[in-house]
Amino acid sequence: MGFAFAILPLIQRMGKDEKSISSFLVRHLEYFNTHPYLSGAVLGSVIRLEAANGHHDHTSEISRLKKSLMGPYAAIGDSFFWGSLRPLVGIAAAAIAYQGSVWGPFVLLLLFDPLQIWIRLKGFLEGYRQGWQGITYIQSWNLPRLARFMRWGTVFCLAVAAAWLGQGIANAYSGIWMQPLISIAVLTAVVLSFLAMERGLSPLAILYGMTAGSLALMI
Amino acid sequence: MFLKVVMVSIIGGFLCLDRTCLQVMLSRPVVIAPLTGFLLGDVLTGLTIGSFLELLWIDKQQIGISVPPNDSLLAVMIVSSLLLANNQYEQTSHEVMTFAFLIFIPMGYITQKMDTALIQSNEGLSEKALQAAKVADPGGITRQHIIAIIRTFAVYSLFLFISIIVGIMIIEAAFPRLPAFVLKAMSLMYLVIPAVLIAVCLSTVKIRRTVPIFCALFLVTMVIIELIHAF
Repeated sequence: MGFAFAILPLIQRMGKDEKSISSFLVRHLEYFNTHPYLSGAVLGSVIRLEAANGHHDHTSEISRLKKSLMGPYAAIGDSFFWGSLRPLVGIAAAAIAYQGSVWGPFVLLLLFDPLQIWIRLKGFLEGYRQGWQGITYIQSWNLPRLARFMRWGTVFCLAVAAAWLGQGIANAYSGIWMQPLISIAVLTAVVLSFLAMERGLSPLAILYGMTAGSLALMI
Repeated sequence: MFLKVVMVSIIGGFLCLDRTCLQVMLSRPVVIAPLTGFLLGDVLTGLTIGSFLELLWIDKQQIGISVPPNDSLLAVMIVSSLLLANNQYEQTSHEVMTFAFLIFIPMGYITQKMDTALIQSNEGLSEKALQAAKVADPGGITRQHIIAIIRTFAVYSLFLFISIIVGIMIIEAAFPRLPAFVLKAMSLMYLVIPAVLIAVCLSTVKIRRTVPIFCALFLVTMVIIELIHAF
C-alpha cells in the first residue's frame, strides 16, 4: 500500500481514463517488500518506466522490475543498515550516553541519517535517470563490503566500551590500583554472557539470573 | 501530573511513528528516551535508560515478518514513569533506574504482540485500498494509508498513557519499601547490565573467532589506557 501511495502523483499524467487508472493502482498494490532505504531506488526506476508507458506498454516489465529488485535490495539493505551500520552507531551512541553525555543521541543521528538520506535521495534520482540500470548506483556503493568493515568496527567499539566500563567502575568504586582486576571481571562477565547466549539463553534470562545472584550476594 | 502523562503519551506516540513512517532514528531508545527526559526535566535518566534499551534488543530487527519488541515505546514509558514517580527528588538514583529497567523490560513482549496485531490489522486496510483501486479511486488508497498511521498513533498513545500511570503506581508503591540489600543489589546491577548488553551486541557480529578477537582488542585497549595514565 505504501508503494501505491508514493506513486499516486503519477496519476495526474494519466488523464481521466478510469480503466487505465484502475489498472495502474491495482498494479502498484501488488505485494512489494524491500528495505525502506532502498525502496526509493526501485520507485525511481518504476516511475521512469511508468512515464514511458504512454508510448509503449511496459506493464509486465514494471512488475518484473519490482519483483526482481525487491529481494536483492532487501538482503543488501537489511545486512548493511540493520545488521552493520545501526549496531555500530548504536553501540557508540549508547556508550557515550551511558557516560551521561548528551552527545550520545547526536552521534547516532549524525552518523546514521546523512548516509541513509543520501542513499534514499540519490537512489531515487539515479533510478529515475537510469530506469532498469538504476541498480548500478546501489551496486557502486558495494554495501556488502562496507558491512564487513563495519562488523570489525563494531567489535573494536565493543572492546573499547568494555575497557572503558572496567576503568569507570575502578575509578568510581575501588581506586586505580584495582583496575586490572575489575577489567578482567568485566571481560569475564561479557564472555560468559556471550557464551550463554550462543547456547540459546536469552539476554533477559541472563539479566534476571545475575539480578538473583546480586541479591544473594547482598543479603 | 495527569497533564504531563497526557503530554508525554501524545508526543511519545507521535515520535514512535518514526519506527514505520520516516525511519530517521528519532524513535531509537538512545534518542527518544533523552528527549522524553528533556520534556520532563531530567535528560540524564533518559540517557541511561536509552543506552540500556538501545542495546538490549539490538540483535532483533524488523526483517520480513519478524517483529521485534517495541523498545521506543518502552523507553518513553520507563523514563516517564521514573521521572513522574520520582519528581520529589532532585536526581533519579542508579538504584531506581535499574529497578524500573528490570521490572518493566518484560513489557517489551506486550509491545511486540501489539505491533504484530497492528500489522495484521493493516491487511484489512490493504483489502479496502484494493477495492478503491478497482473503482479507480486514488483517494481511497490515501484514506487507508492515513487511517493506518492515525490508528498506530492512537494505539501507541493509549498504550503509553495506561502504562505510564501503571508504571508510576508500581514505582511509588514498591521502590520505597525495598530493603537495603535489594538497593545494594540494584546498585551492583547498574554496573553489570552494560557487560551483558555488550555481550548482546557481540552476538550480532557475524565474524569468525569473535571472542578471541574481542579479548585481544580489549587487552590492547586496556594497555593503551594504562600507558595514557602512566605518561
